[in-house]
Amino acid sequence: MSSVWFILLLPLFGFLVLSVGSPLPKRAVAVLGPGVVGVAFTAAIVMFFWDYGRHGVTRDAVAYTWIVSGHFVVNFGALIDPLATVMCLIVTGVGFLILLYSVGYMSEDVDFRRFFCYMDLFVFAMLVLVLSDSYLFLLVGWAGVGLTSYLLIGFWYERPAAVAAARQALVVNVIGDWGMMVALFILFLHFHTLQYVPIFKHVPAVLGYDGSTVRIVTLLLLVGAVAKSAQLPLHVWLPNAMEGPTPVSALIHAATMVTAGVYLIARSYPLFHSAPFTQSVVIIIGTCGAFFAATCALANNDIKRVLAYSTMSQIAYMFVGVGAASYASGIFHLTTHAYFKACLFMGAGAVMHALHDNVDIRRMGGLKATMPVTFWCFLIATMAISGVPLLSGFFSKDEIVGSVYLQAQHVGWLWIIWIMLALTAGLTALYMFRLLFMVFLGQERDPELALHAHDPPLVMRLPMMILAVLAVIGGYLAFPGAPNWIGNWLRHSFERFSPVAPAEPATQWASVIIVILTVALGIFAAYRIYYQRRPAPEQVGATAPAIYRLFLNRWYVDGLYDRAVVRPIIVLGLFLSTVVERFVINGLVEGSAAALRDSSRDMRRVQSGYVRNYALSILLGAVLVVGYYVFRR
Amino acid sequence: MTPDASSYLIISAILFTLGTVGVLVRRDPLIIFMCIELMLNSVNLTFVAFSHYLSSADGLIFVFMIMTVAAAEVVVGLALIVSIFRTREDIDVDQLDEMHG
Amino acid sequence: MLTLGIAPVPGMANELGFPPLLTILLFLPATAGLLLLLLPSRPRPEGGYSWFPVKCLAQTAALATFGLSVYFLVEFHLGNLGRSSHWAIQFPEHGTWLPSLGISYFLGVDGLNVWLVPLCTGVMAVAIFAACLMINRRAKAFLALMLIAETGMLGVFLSWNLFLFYVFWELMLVPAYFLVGVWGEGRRIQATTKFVIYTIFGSFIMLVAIFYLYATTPGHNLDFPALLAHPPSTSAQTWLFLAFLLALGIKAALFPFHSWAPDTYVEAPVPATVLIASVMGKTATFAIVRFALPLFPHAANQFSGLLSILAILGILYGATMALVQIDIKRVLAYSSISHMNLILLGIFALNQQGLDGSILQMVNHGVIMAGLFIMVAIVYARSGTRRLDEMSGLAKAFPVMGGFLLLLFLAAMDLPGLGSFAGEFTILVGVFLSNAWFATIAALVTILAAWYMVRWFQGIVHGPVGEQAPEPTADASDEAWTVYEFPVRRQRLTKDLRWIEMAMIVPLAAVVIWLGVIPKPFTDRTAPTVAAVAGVLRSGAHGSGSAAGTVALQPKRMKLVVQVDNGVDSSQPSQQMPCIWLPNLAKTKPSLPGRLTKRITTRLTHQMTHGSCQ
Repeated sequence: MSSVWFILLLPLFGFLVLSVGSPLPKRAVAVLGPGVVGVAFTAAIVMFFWDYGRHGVTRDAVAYTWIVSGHFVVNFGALIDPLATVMCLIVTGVGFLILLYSVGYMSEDVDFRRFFCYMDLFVFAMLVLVLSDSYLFLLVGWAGVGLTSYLLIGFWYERPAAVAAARQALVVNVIGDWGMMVALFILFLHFHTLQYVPIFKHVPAVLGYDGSTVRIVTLLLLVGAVAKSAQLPLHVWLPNAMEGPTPVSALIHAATMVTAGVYLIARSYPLFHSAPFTQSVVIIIGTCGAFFAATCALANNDIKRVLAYSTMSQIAYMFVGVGAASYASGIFHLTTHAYFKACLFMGAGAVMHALHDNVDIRRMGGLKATMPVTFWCFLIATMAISGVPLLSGFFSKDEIVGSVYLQAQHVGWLWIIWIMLALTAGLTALYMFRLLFMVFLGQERDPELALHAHDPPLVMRLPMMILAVLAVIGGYLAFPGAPNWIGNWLRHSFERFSPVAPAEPATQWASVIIVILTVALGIFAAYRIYYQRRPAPEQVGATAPAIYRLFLNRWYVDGLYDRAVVRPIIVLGLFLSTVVERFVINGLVEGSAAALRDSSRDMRRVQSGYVRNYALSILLGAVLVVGYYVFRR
Repeated sequence: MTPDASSYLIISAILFTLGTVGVLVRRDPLIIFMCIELMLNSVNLTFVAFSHYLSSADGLIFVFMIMTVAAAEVVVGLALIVSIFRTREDIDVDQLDEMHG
Repeated sequence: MLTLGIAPVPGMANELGFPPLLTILLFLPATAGLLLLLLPSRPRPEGGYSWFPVKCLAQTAALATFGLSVYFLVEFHLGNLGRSSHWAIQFPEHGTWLPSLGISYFLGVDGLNVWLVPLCTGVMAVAIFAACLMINRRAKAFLALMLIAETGMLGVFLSWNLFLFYVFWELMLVPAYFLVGVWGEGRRIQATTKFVIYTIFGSFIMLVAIFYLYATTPGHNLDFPALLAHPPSTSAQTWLFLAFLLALGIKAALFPFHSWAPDTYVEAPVPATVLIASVMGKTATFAIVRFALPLFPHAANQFSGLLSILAILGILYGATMALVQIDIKRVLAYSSISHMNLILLGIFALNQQGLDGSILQMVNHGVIMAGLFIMVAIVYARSGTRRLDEMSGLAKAFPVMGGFLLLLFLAAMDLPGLGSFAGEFTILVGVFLSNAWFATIAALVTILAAWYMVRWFQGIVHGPVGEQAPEPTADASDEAWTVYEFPVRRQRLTKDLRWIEMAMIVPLAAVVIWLGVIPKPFTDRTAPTVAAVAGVLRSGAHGSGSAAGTVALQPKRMKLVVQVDNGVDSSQPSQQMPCIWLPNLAKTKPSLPGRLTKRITTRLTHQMTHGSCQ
């Protein structure tokens, strides 16, 4: 049991030491920063095997009581179950590899120590998020990862773009926090606790099936999930978040933090299971987001932003998975996505490193010759994400699309969802291979830029290669036909409180074949357009300029938010401060003061200064008083 | 024959009115002072009269207190008048209106 | 012991105790402040005065007061004394003062003020340190006024007699007037006049309400237990409550009575801003919980909805205003108003969570605002400007300063894991339990808070490194006690946060983190008393407004126990109350001045009536 505290506290320890340790030499930072996460990963593996022999037994460990106020009692504790263990392994494992990569990537940066300080804090917050046994500490971790995301997006704070992106990310994430907070209030109102286990045990008894309360709670939780996972309509921050250093994009904005929304839905599955309406909303948001992000990725020319949109698209797949009550497949896709997307970002980072931080793919090309290792890793990861058969993404994506296909037999409108998902799978292949062809193959478009291109040093190469290997073999955790290992393992989590329909017994071959066909079509199209024809940058989109511009401008959503939300609030603030505060609030106060002053100006004429007048007024007063008593009767 | 109470009161009222008019119309502070004394003494007269007719000593007590206060007042007032005269060379009360609002 | 003429009350043995520690705590700062004025000020050869001895004495007094206040925190008896609804007054010190007017000298500690007293003394210790650092013009008078104001605020927190409370309430205002008016900047005279007249206007109306209570309470007793035992009629409660709320709401910056606050905060010198924003505002929110709610429970329930709406408007209004300010101090001023209204919202929830959270948040807000305003001074000393559009990228030259700014910025935007989250979440839970919509709308402020605070933070330390931020260089004239000169700045600092500045910020930061990680020790101490207040309020909600409490003396621990009969657990037998003691000060021996006056009047009347008939 103590191993979980060990896992949790190690990154915190790293953060504390690094935050105060300004005299630490760079080498010590390079050891300590990734080291603590590495040790935590080892501990997580130990914990995993310890539990594996016990068939995913769930344990709830309370560390201390956080607050007591009447019947509002919150404990800080850890819930160890298969879901938490899987998330813990991903966070520490992938986190360790990316931190290792960062040692090379950030080696030139003056703020080397600050970077690892923030990264360790992130790992700690993420572990709090996934290990917590109550919604309150889920929220603490939730906000903690939002904070570190903010800090790391704005890591290079001299750049105005990074500062603006960080601010946007923070504010959008806090919108999600608001939804979570209100959801927590409702849960507390009905369950008098915020611990998972007592809530989940009594969901059907307290909230009923498909009642309005459970709908509202799940929709509010969904607001949090959507904001954190950059889904429609709160997705605008994720592409801008690419202003941060690339390892940050790999760890936070691809592998772990942005998938927290999926984790939240999977963790709260007894609630979502009782709210079919919300599950439909999740599926629709996911499908629209997957398609939307794929189209944006298709037109974008920034290597990291293409990957960001692809992240959004893949997380949308996970949303569909958990929305379709196929929680294990959603988590499975989360796992494989962590491998290949982290690998892709590392590749992008290596390319940027080689090309002096250039991110415009229109100036790249032909890097295969000078950066072979990067190319092969990137290729494997691209194939994995596109769903090329026998690689990890194929299996995980297939499970999600297949589960939708299976449910569509009963629910008619899911056919539309299934068609869009299959179509998006093709689009995924198209934009990913477009990226691959434009960056690595063909002719160099800017020979000067690529003059000194080379593969990165070993400390960056090694994590990339490990992740490429994982991107290949990661899918065999749930090989069709063989025992679905990850599904069986996670079932211990997902069958505890309400019997979930077990993962589909047989693979839906019809669905699989159609998805394979669309993927092949996508790859072929990319090959024809971007490898054989190789259009000049200005020619791209000439055939359908309106649609191209729509995609390039991200469907004009960003501008819409700016005009419809941000500016009105600013204008309101200006109005309040220049008009309301000055003339209404202050006007009332100062107006009454002025009225008093003016009236006293009139009043003081009575004080003439002549003794006679005063004496006369005394006399009159005396006459009045006496007269009153005389004539009272 | 002994006069009844109303005679005292009438005299007292006449004296009081004289004093009041004097305070209101005269400008010389000394005259005003004397008018005030007149008013006070008219009140004293009333007190004594009532005290006599009601067989109560309360009125007499008040008369003593009023006389004391009047004496104190004269002391302070005359001192003020002297000092004002020294500084201004003029004691017309209508000129002493620095305190007007 | 005191100049107040205290005599022990029979039946309350050992009431003042020896040593009367609360009394010492209360008057230590003011005594030190008056002593300061006696110290000679030595002129320096190069001009100005050497304030070093003055500053040392002031700082020592402030720290000693803080240390003494921690003693009460440590010795505070936890638990509920047998029944959950007991309202225990610990360390009571009771003496008669003007018995014929129902005025007694009555101090004590309970769950409501047990944390606010150390907040006051601790923040004042920091503020006086800041004053030592920043104020060099007539420093002696400044420090003396700060210390006298501290006594005033402590008196408000510790008083259990309504009139005593009012005396201290007015006492703390006088030094504040001079602190802002003499040492302030810009439109300081207008600001301080507005502040004082506005608050006095409310106070006088409260004074009328206090007079009414004096006139109507049986036995003419203004001691809190007596008042609690005889609540006014429901119709009288209405206007009494509103009179109290007007006075306290103005001081707590309840919307729309907040307009004095931004000007005062901005124009005041930073130590005085800390005093007013961090501590003085809390006296008002505290007094609402201490007096206005339990004494007028029926009216409190009647008006809680209306007041909550005002508070919500204030929360959102303050946050929106903070969003568009350019002056970094003014951003904080409006954010403070927003947060104060959130505290008020928690109070008006009238339940355990709302009140617990409010008290927790009072301490958090006091600590965070103190830190933030001091950071403003620290930033200003380096940037030479307070305008967001004139500074940029200070983190490059001053990374440590940036780190502390970051921590305080996160605390101010209610980051979960830091103190303010524990407070605000508990507040919102309480509000949600009383009205779900209020909490949902009020929680929106977290979005705005994140927005304006991140704008504030980034505006100072982030962005391109421009001309404004000097490169870090060795600072030859690093004489900590003289470099700051507010409002006239002698030179711009070029060094990162120095230890002497850190000494102010680090304790505050530590408290913020502690209250975020483990707030349980905090609520453990507040909860029993808050439960009693909530019980009184519940009984008032049922329209009765009738006798709500009695007072008992607990002989073993020498505690006054206000037994609140809210019908919750009256079945349990009360074991700890062998005797019921109702204060009846009319029977007690009056003080010497009282006796003298009475004797003279009796004799005179006698002579006047009988002596002259002979």
